[in-house]
Amino acid sequence: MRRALGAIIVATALGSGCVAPRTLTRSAEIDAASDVAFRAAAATLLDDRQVFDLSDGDAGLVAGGPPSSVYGASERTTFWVTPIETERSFVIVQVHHVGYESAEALDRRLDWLLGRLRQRCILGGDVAPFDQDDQDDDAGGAPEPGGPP
Amino acid sequence: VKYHRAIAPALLVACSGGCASPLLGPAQLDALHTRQYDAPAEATFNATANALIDMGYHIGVTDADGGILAASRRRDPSIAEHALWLTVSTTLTFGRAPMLAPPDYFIMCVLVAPESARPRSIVRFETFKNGRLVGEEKRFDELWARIDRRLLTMGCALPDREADPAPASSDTAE
Repeated sequence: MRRALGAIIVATALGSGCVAPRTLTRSAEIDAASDVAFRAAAATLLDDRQVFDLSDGDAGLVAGGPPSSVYGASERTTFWVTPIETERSFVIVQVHHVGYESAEALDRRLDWLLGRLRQRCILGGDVAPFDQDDQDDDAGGAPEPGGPP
Repeated sequence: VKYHRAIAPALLVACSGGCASPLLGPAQLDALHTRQYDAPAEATFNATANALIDMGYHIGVTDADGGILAASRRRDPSIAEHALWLTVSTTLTFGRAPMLAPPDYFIMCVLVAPESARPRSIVRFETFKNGRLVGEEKRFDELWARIDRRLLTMGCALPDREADPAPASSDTAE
């Protein structure tokens, strides 16, 4: 009886630790105009099969989450694009996750998001979907869009 | 026992029919999700917003500068569907947990961007049904047709003319 109770307490403690909210932030300078970087960020969110829930082109803010966030958010991704020079921008990407993803998995997701953003900026802010063949090559083994990190 | 044996195959058949997803690959879906227009991005954005409203969507996020739209729509089941669900759930749970048919939630995210060769623009969208990515060609065609119609009424076939959004018509899909 005692062992069972102890196991339940330990499992509950571990479980509550796993679903603790995690917020990871990364920033990068990108050789692209701010409007191009903003379009690239929005297209990256679509590539990741996310639903826009905030957008402000003037402020350079675009955010989204998985479509199930309509019923209760579990993850939110925010891009903030700030112009530095005419053809240079500063991008902050933040992932706020409440769930069972590990910090490493979220780190890989940030890598994928920034990698895709850079690719799109190189293509001049192209918003069309990438070919599946290209997706396998980008960001060094990056996860499939919408799939687990 | 015979009663349960009869219900099990019926449930299997019903589930296999209801759970069937459209046989489109990711690349095919992506191709269906994008289209270029010979119109400025501002006009295309207005046309897209009007088209979504025409289709019965409620626009939740709009950003004309960024070319971003997110809209959602709820489709309630018909009385016949409710009656079917009520009958089946009552039968299967022996009257303990009767339930009505759940509604469907559709979300559409649209990105309208100018192309380098102006006044062209590109529209890309993703549709979700009950939180899952869907690929219904009928729905895509409907959206493209409505955007086309809106752009034509704005006179965007002529690049020199300024965009003049027409009032939304009252016809709604479904």
